[in-house]
Amino acid sequence: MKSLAADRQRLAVPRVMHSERLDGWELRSLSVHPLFIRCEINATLDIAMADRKLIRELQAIVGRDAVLHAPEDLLVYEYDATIERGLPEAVVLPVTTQQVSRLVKLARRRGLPVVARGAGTGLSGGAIPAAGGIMLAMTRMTRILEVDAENRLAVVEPGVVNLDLSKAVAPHGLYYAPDPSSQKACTLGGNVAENAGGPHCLAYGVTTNHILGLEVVLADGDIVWLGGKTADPPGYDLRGLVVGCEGTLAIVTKIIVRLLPLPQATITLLAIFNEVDQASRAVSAIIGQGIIPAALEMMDKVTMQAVEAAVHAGYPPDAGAVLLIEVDGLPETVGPQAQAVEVICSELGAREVRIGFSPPERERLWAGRKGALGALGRLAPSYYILDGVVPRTKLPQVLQGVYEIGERYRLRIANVFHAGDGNLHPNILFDESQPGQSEQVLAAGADILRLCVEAGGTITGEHGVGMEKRDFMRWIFSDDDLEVMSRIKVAFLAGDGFNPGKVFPTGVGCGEITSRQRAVIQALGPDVYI
Amino acid sequence: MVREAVLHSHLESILGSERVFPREEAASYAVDGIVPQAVALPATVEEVAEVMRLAQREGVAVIPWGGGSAMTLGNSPRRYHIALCLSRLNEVVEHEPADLTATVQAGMTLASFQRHLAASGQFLPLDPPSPQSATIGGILAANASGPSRHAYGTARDLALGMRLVMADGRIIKAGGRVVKNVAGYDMVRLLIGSLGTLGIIVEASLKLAPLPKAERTLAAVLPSAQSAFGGYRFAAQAAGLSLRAVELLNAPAAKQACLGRKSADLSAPDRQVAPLGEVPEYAFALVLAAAGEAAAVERSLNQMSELSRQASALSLTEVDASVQGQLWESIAGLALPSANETSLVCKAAALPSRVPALISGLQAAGQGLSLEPLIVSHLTAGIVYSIWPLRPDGTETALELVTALRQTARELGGSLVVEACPPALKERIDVWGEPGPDFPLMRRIKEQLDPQAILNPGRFLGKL
Repeated sequence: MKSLAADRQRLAVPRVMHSERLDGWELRSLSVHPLFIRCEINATLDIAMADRKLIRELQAIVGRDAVLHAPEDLLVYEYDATIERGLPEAVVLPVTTQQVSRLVKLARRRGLPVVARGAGTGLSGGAIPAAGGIMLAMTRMTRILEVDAENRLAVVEPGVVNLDLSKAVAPHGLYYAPDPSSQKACTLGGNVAENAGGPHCLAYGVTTNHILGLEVVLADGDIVWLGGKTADPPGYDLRGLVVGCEGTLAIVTKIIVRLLPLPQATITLLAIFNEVDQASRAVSAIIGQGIIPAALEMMDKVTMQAVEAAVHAGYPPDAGAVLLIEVDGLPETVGPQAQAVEVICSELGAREVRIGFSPPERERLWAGRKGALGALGRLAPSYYILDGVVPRTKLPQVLQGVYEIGERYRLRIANVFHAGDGNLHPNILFDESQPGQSEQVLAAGADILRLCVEAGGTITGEHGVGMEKRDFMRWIFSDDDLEVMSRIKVAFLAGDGFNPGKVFPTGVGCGEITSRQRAVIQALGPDVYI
Repeated sequence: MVREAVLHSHLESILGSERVFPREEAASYAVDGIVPQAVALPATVEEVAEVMRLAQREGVAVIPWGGGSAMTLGNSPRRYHIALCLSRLNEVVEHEPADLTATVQAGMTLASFQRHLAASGQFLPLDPPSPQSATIGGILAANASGPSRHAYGTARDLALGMRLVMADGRIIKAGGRVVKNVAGYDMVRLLIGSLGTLGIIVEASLKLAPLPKAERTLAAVLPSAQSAFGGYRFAAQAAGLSLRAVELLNAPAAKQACLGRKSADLSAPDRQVAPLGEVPEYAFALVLAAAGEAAAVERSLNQMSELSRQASALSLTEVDASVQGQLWESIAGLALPSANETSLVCKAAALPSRVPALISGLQAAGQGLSLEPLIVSHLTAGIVYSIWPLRPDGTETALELVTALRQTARELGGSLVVEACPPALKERIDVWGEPGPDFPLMRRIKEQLDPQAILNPGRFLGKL
C-alpha cells in the first residue's frame, strides 16, 4: 500500500504546463512531454462545456452522492499506475448491476464512451478514459455475495479487493490464487479485465484459470451471465473472451471465482548469485528438471538496493541477483523439491542458498518483492515498467540483451520479475526533467520488447496492451490476426463504446470513428493514440 | 452449388489425386449418416487454407476431421460436402523440454504426442477417450477431457496458442508459445470447445507437465447410492492428498471398465484387466489415482483407505501396477458410444456437491422407462456421464429419457449435453440443450467469423 501511495505521489507530479480556469472548469492544456502526449487528448475535448443535463441524468440513476463531476473530483480519476492521463466527463459509482445497465444505455444514447475502473493500479492505462466519457468506478460494488466452501467457489462483486477475498475465505481453508503485487489494493473486476497475473501464477495459473463465470452488462445494456458455476457449459467460451478484454467488450458486474485449498506446507528459499546470468540459468534448469515451484522470482542488484533502502526485507544488496523461490503443497513433496532446487542453484553458481525462514522473515521477503516497484522510486524520479515474456530457456540471453540495451541508451534498468514464467519486468529508471531522456526511454522500452518478441515471446504477460503497446501488437500479430480479433468486438456490438483506444493498434478495431474522435484526430494529427 | 465431379476435380488440382477421395470411398467419414462428396487430406497448412478458399468460393460446407473419435458430438450437420481430414498434419513443430511447452500440428494423435513427450519425462495432462485415434486438434475443438482434469484442469488451462485456418482461408495466429500472454483477445479459449465451427485448428502450443514419479490406483467399493455422497466427501477432504483422478462408477460401469474393451454386452465372460473388487449391483466403485512423490502417494492411499473404511467400504483394492494404465484408459473410454450398439451418451454437469443427487435423479429417470445406465462421474468436477443402451427403434423412448434427464439436471442447477445418440433423435432435440440468454452473442460471433456458415454448419449449440 505504502509503495503504491508512493507511486501515486510520484506519478502525480504536475505535468500540466499551463492551466487556467474557465467558467469554474479547469481546462487542461497541452503538456509537451512526449511520454505524456496521450494526455493531450482530453485537452482538445470540449470538457469545459459542463453538461448539466448529463449530470442530472446520471444522478437520477445512481443518486447525487454517486456522481462526481467537479473538476477537482475528476482529477483523482484521470490516472492509473501508468504515465497515461485522461479526464472523464463524469465519474459514477454504481452499486447494482441494474444501475450499470442503465448507465451504459444512457452513455450509448449520448454517444459517450464508458470506461470501468477498479482501484486504478493497472500498469497499461486500462482505466484511463482516453476519449473522456463516463467512468464507472466499481469500488462501491464490494460485496462477497456467496462463499461455497464445499464446491470451492465464491461469487463476488467486481469492486472486491483481491486480498480481501483470500482473507474472507481463509477460515474455510481456502484462498484465491492469482496474487498481483498490488493485491492489497487491486480489485477482482480489474484483475478480470486485465487477466492479471502475479508471482504465484507460475504453479496455479493466471486470472482466467480461476474465473468460472461472469455477469456482464453488454453494450446494449443487456445483462447476461457468461459461463457459470458448473463445469464445461455448452456454447462458446465467452467468459474466456471477456477475461483480459481490457474493458473493451463488456462491463463485469459479478464474478464467480474458483478457490483453492491453502497449501499444507510451504518452503521459501533465497538463492543468492553474484551474476544475473547464473540466476537466469538456474531458472531454466529448475523448470527443465520438471520442478514447478509455486513462485520463482528474480531480483537484480539495482532492485535489491532500492528494496533494502525502503523496507529492509532481508535481501543481500551486494549480490548480482537473487531468486526468491517458494515450493508449496504436500508435506512429502515440498521437502524433496526444495532440496532439488537448492542443488540446482548451487551447481549453477549460487554463492549461498538460504532456507528455513520464519513466517515473519518470509513475509518481509515477500513485502520487499511486492513493494519493489514502489521502492524503485528511491533510485530515480521516474521509471518505466515493461512486461515482456520469453520462453524460459531464453532468459539468460534476453536478460543480457536487456542490460546491453540499457548500456546503449545510457539508462539504468532494474529487473524484478516472474522468472519462472519467463515474464520479464525491466524497469527503466530515468529523470523526465532531463531533456530528451523520455524519448530515449520509450525507444529503449520498444527495443526490449522487440527483443522479447524475437526470442519467441510476447509484448505483455500480465499488464495488458492498454494504450502504450497498441502499436507493438503488429510485431506479434498480422493484419489478418488483428482483423479477426476485431470481429469479436463487432460481435459484442461494443464499437468504441467501452474503453476506446485500448488493445488494438491505431486504425484497427475502432469500428466507426465517432465525431469526437475525428475532432481529436484533426486537432492532434492522425498518429495520435485514441 | 458446384457439381460433385467439379468439386472433386477442384480439390484434386489443390491436393493431387492421391489425397482426394470421392464419395464412394468416403463412407467412413459420414456424420450422422451423411456422407460427404469428397474427403480432402491436405498435408500443409497452406493446403488447408486453399481448400477453405475453394469451399468459400463454391459455398460448400466443410467438416474438419481429426481422428473421428468424437464425431457423434453435436447436432447433425445441416450441409456437408467436404471432410477436411487433418491426419497428414502430424508433426511436432517445436518441443524444448526445458520450457515445458510444445507446439504440435493438429492432426497428431494424442498417443503419439505422448510418446514423443515421454522421452523427455513429460506429458500433456489430458486424457480424453481414444488416445490412439483422438488428435490434438480434435481434442481442443471438442474440449475433450478425462479423469486427470481433477489435478490438471482442461484444455482451456493448458493451451497457449494456435494457428487457425479461418472459413475464408486466412491463416491466423491466436495467443503465442509462452506460458503467459495477455496481448489481445483470448481467441484460444474461444476456439477450444467450438467444435470446428469458427475456424480450423491446424497447430497448437501447449503447456506440458512432468510425468509423476509414482502413481498408484485404489478402488473402494461403497455400499449404497448414499455412500456416493460419502465418496464426494472423501474427495473434498482429500485436499491434502496427491490425487490425479477421482472417479465414481456404478456397478455396470465398474464391470465394463474391468472388461477393458468397449462392449455393451455385460454378460460377456469377464476378461478382467484390473479387478476393482466385487461390486454388487447396488454399489458404487470410487476409483482413485494418487500420483506424485512416492511418499505422498503412499500417504494418500493410506488416508483414502482409512476414510473408505470409515464409510463402511465393502472392499478396498489396490489395482495392480501393471494394469492400472489400461484400467484408466478403459474408465476414460466408458463414455464413448459403442460402435456396434445403439446407445445414448449424456454428459450432465452440476455442482460437485450435487453429484450424488444428480446420479440418483438420472437413475430414477431411467427406472421409469425400465432402463439402467452405466454411470461414470468425474466426481470433483461435478460431471456425470450416463450411457444408456437403446433399441434400434427406440427414438421415442430416447426422447422421453432425454427430456427426463434434462429435467433432473436443470432442477439441480446443472445442464445436460447429449454426446452421442441416434441421428433420428438429433432431429428432435438440440443435443447441447436450450440456448441461454448469451446465445445471441454466440450467434453474432459465428456470423462474424464464418459469415457463409460453411464450417460445420448446424452442429453447434442452437444449430449454429
